[in-house]
Amino acid sequence: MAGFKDLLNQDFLFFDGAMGTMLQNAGLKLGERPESLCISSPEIITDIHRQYIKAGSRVVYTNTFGANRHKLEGTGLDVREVIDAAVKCAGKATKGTDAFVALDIGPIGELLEPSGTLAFEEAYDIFKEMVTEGEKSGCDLVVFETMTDLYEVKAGVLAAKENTKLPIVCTMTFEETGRTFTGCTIESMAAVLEGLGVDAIGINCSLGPDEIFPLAKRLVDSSSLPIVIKANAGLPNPITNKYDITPEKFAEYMIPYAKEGIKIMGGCCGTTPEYIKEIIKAVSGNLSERKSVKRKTVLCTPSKFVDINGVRIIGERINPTGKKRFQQALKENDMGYIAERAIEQADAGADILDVNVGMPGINEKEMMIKVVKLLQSVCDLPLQIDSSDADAIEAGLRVFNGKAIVNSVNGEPEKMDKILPIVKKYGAAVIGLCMDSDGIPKTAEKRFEIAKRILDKALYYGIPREDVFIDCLTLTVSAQQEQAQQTLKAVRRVKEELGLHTVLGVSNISFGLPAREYITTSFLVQAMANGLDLPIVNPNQQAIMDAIYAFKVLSGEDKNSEKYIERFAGRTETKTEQTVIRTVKADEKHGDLDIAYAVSRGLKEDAARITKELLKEKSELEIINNLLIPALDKIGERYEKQEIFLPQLINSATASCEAFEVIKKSILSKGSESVSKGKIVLATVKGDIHDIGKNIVKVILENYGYQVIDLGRDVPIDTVVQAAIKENVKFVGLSALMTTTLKSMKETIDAIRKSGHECKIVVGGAVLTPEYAKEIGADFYAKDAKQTVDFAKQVLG
Amino acid sequence: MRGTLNNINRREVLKYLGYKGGKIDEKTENDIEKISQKVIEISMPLVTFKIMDIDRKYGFALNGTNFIPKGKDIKEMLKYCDKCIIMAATLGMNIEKELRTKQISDMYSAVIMDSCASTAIENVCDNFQEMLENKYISQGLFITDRFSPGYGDMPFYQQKELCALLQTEKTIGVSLSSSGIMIPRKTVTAIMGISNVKPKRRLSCEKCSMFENCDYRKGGNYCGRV
Repeated sequence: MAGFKDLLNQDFLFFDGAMGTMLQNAGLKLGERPESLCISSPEIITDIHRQYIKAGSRVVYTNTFGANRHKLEGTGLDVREVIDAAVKCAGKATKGTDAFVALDIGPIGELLEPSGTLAFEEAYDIFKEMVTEGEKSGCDLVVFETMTDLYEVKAGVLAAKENTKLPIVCTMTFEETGRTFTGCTIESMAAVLEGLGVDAIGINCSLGPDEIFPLAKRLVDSSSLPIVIKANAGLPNPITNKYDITPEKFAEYMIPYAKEGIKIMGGCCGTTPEYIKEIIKAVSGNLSERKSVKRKTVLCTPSKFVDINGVRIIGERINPTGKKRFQQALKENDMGYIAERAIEQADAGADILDVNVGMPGINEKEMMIKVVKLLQSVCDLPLQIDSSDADAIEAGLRVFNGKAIVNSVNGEPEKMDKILPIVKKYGAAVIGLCMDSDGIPKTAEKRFEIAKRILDKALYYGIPREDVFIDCLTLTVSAQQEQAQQTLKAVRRVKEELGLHTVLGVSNISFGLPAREYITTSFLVQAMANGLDLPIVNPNQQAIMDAIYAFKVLSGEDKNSEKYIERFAGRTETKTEQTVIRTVKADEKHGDLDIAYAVSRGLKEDAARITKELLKEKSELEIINNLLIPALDKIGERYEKQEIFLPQLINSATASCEAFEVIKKSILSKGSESVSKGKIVLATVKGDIHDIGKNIVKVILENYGYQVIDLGRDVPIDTVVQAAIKENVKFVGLSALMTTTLKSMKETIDAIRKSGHECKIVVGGAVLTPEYAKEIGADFYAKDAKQTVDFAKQVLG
Repeated sequence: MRGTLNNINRREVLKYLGYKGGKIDEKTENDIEKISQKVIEISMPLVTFKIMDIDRKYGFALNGTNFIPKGKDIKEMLKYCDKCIIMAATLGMNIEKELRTKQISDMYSAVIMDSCASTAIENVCDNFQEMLENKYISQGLFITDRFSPGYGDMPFYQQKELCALLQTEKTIGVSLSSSGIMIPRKTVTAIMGISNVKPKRRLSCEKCSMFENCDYRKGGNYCGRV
């Protein structure tokens, strides 16, 4: 018998219809676990599979949709037992037929990080348990279906690829908007899953066949993989729970799919063997050739899709090289600072973010995982994983939810043999640097040769041509003047002769010259004119971005100069606005705006500006102790007296944050260690994800000069204990918002006490009371951020 | 189905923000208005519901399920009802993401946005309830209050059972974390009775789960829902 993969390229291939609907017809109650029937009434399950095979299905899904560790918890059912029983039920039905058994895997039922609390690695484990058991029990393929979270699918696909030899089919569930509930687009699904090397992709559930059709067409346009469609039988009636499309009508709706060249179909909720029979009857003879997909270069996250069909900006700011403040953030685990750099670049117009976290004293692999997870929690731009360490690259690609770029390989054979297979495995794009063990060639010809070598090797490893980008390398023009032209020439040749996208970090060009901006911008424009489409720049630099906007007008990419006009129209407005504000303020304060006033009114820019001026005559500590803290105290008092309320308090805190940022930089530039009035660990306890309160407390504490080690939310007990010990922290703040998570607050406190580490613990959160805080062993109960500061002063001074 | 979000009650937002009277400056006032608009714009409100028979033969269960609402309060509310509506409503994942980003880049707006979103989900529920009321009134039927797990003596963990009955994961994209928190967080589950007797509406403070430690009550105020 031919294998499942051989069938994918044949004629039609019919899958089965709903299992749940058939079970409900057989008496399953709403809310009951259907998987239990595999053990208690296997004959019912086998009979359902038989009915589908009889109707013409060649692939039947096992009754294991929710047979994962998480969903079976508390039911008394065991994952392995259920899967084994389910595969046997299906195997019995397929025996003696040409049908295949697909191990059916639905969503875990708990959302992954960052919106949920389930770790990517844990999701991988849950799927690993299922797929290994499925293969052992004898299934022929594995199907991930009804998925809404691309990250979860990625965990599943990796689990299946790394632990079994089973073919993989993935179908996700979309709303009419073309997005899943978590915001994943059809195009992103196609780009990521094709990159991961699944065997077929598609759409199932949620909508009827008529509503899925436009979405299926989008999928046809974005993937060359075989496509699977399993629609619902229309919409369910909330009273009767019956679906509203008849088998005949359903079958009629499937004909246009066949005409699009979609060969694999079945049914989802509400469909029965009758539907499959009708589909087969209706579509026979209607199959058309599928149109070929135009290969294009895309990068994506689930919700953001970047088509490289013009100049796209790679932001370079997430990189410690030469940046003391960034280095400090990495050393102190100040993730907030790094997240801000991402948001800032996204707001400034970056399309992709380069991520480099390599520096001495930092475990690059661990930090890469942490930062990639952080960035995808606050920003939806695709990432460029930038490292020379293969392990760090792989770790970054693994946890990244989307299609990334790897920066980079060069022409050295060992390097390519190490990095390129990783790029292929995770379906990323890769940057090839035009250099090798002999260094950077002086001539454009030699660089072009290396580019060709890298391309050949990438193709050899199965990386498609469109995913290979070349960096012809920028050298400093003040040192090697003739090299600028060689770089530009090489860019042109790579673009024209190899047809590849090119990348360049441009700012290097002007090093050592005055008025660097002119040189950099001019070089950038020339490079783009020669075919550079992925400049790596600082998007916060206005001149650079202006040049790119202007270039897009001249290249014809910015139709009707719309984006250009929008950019500059906005700028004139801001200028006038600023002048107006300044005049008003000058009037109010007779031109003498002081730091206390700026902070109390939440004027961020002014707070920063005034601090810079103050630093000319006062020391950092003087400013903090004599100006900022008294100002904050006053605001705190007003808050307590209810003269102002939360938003104003925070507004002032953010303004004072700006002042602190200026002070921190000033201290770093002098080479001294950071000023800190003491370290504080903050965490929202295990199980709780309500962290806005904790984040407010953090902002306020930082404004009093404390260094906050923010462990985030849903923090494991041990992490809190370890952080307190490792950093020798004397003040720990814990937050919980739910009655259900107070228990883990108590356990965290117990664990800290048990460790013998001496520290004071403050707790807060909506459901806490002073009495309860005492009962669970906390030293303080703080009703708000202001009070937490008071306790911090008591403990740390 | 798509839910309707058309208004964010300013007073309620202010209460969530801890405002207890006094003057509000113009900037905050304007920002609340602006952020309310943004919340309305980026939310993707979804509602799912089922109409169930109440089975009193063996105690108190929803027919065709193993679900037994716990506590006296819910039974009291459904006293004159043979049918009830179980529902779940969410603002969707967009607002969840926006709140996360805002907390990094602009805490001030994040705090206001969080309060606006909490108010917004109530508006989605209110609109859905009103739609049902209008539908049933013509049949001479009335809708009771909206009762959620965690109110009165109905345990919070029954939220999980309601989510399972409504298949919220599939129907509106709502799942529970291992500690029972619904994600996206701006989500509500509730039960409403359908009755041919006009029910006494509105919960009293005493029946509220926050009765013991309600900040509004401490200040001699109320949350607006009583």
